[in-house]
Amino acid sequence: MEKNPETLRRGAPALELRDVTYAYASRPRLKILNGVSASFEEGVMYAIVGPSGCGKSTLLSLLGGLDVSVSGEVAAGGAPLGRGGLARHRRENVAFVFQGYNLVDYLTPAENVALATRLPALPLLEKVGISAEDARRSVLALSGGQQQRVAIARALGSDARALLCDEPTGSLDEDTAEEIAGLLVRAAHEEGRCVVAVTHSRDLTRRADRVLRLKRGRLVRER
Amino acid sequence: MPFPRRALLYLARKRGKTLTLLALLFVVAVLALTSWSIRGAAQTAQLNVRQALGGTFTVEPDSSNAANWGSSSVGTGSQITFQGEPLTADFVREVVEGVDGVRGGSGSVSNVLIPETTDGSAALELVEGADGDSSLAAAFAGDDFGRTVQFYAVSDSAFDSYFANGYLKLVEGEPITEDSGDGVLVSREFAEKNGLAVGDEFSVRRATVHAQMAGIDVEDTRTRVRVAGVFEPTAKSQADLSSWSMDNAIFGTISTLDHAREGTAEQGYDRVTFQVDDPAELGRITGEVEGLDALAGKGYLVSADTSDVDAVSAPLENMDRLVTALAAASVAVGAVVLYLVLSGRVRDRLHESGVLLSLGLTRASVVGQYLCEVLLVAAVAFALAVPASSLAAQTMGDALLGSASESVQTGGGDGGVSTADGVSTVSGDPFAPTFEVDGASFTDIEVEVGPGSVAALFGVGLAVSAGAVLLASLPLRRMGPREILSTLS
Repeated sequence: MEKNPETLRRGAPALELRDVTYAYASRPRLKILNGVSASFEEGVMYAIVGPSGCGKSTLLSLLGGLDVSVSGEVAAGGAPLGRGGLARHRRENVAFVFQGYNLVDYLTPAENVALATRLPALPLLEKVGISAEDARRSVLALSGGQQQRVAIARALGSDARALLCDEPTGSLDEDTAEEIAGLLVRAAHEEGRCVVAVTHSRDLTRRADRVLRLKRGRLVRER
Repeated sequence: MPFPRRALLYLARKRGKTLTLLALLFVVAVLALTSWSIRGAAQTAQLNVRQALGGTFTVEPDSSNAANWGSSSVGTGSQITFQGEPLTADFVREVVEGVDGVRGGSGSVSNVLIPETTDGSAALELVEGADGDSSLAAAFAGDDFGRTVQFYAVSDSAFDSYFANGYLKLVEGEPITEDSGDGVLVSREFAEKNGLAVGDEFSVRRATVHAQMAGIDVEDTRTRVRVAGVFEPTAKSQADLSSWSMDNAIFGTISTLDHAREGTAEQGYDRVTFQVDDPAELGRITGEVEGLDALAGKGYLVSADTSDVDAVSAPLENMDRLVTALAAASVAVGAVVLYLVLSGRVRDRLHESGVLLSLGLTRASVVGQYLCEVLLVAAVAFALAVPASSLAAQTMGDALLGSASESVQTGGGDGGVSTADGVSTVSGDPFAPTFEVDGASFTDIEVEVGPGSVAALFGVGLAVSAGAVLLASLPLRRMGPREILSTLS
């Protein structure tokens, strides 16, 4: 899985939050994010932590172009996202890894990967520990850990500079969670991706390069 | 991965859902196609009935008003004749040219004559009637009256009741018109029995008893005729005298009959029968005819009996309405059920839609996949429905049209073509042969699933299916990124 050296620019900002404020339409006075600014660089793995309901997933959805802020802006590669550019942003700049894997159940692992990339699926799956035999089975026949590996392979297969992970190890046992965490670290360090993981996992937090805590609508760097 | 490939993979791997959709579309298609085909057959049957029973009306002297009639002595006896202006070929022309919707008409007057060789040296051989002679024949045993045949003087044989209604068919030569002179039409069997061909001549004369009653020499009534055409009866006929059957009938001009029976041309035709394009127009047409100067207040009766058409058409029209309602209901219910099923499927696949959208696929690609799946299944279901519908339509059509046909057989009036005993009198002449008619033949229709119906099924069916998918996909197309996220969490 050799990447273009262009993408291996550790330190280049993949995504930025610029004075972003967010509130639900139903409760406009309650600011989930309040003037948050942060830069997420390529080649770095970030862990965003905080108590449940503090707005971690909202922050991830803003970074991924799944939602829009009340004020401020989100930028990708230095360029702010317009409302009309969100779909393109999702298609070109980011890839998601979710707690529930979100694989298409009538497709094989190889076909799931092929949804996101034109690269050959089997080498990508082998890289995350899925055999060629398993790559052709139904995804429903795979274990939770294997399914999450397929989801990561699908994310890695895309050209996205940022992997946005929402509780990627939340449904997995300890050993499997550790293996998945390793894959994400490698994605950041070996492939130069910007990996942003919203997590409650101490192991994943421990292995992240930087840890950001979301507290009362503000993002505070812990490490 | 292009959406058609995703659609194929879904259909292949979600076999249960695919087969359920296939079955639903198949049932709806069979229902729609079957009822549509039966409807077409019912309409064809109606058209056949209308054409077969004919839109006709007659004009004849009003026999119920004694003031129109007078008695005159002829030879040793007397005869009652109409006192008004005679019905002539000019009158027929005036009606045909002056009243919209009248296809044509023919005056008709008949009498009995004896066919013989040209010089009268020998009688021509007659076709034996299948049912033998009645008491009428016995009364004239030993007299040449038993060799009489019906001679019909017509102004245009093509529009004469027998020919226009299909009981007789001209198979050779030309029809008789007022300009045919000594031309006559004879049956093929009569012609073959006597070695006659088109162009050959023979003669006709009155029966001796008639000549004696008129006080004239029978030889003075002899007139030479020329075979102008040959006809064949299309149905079995029966007459009071076997020699009066249609196989021995001769059709000629009024001038020929006038030569044999002087005064016929002066008195004109007994009646004129007009054929109209559509029986439904008869009311208007007869109203206009009654208003013509040639008829108004001159003692003529214009009558159009539509009871047979009405009686025969009613059960078919009822069936047409029933089947049309069934077709409309099956399409409407099918469309609603299809929408409900497809919207349920799209709702069930909202999560999948969210996954695909989060991967950067466009909404058009996602909806295109669903559209592709449904249209592929619909195309297969419709293709399977065609032979199934043919079978169902023929079976159901036979049953329904058979039932309607029974009503046709028993529901006919008593003065027209189709009667309860299946006998037709065709013309108003009481001595005219009667025909056995087959009411079922009007509705003996092959119920076919035609290419038009199949094209309509594919056109409308695929459009309804596509519409249902697009409608069911509305929530997906309106779904914002936040909703996508919520489907994934």
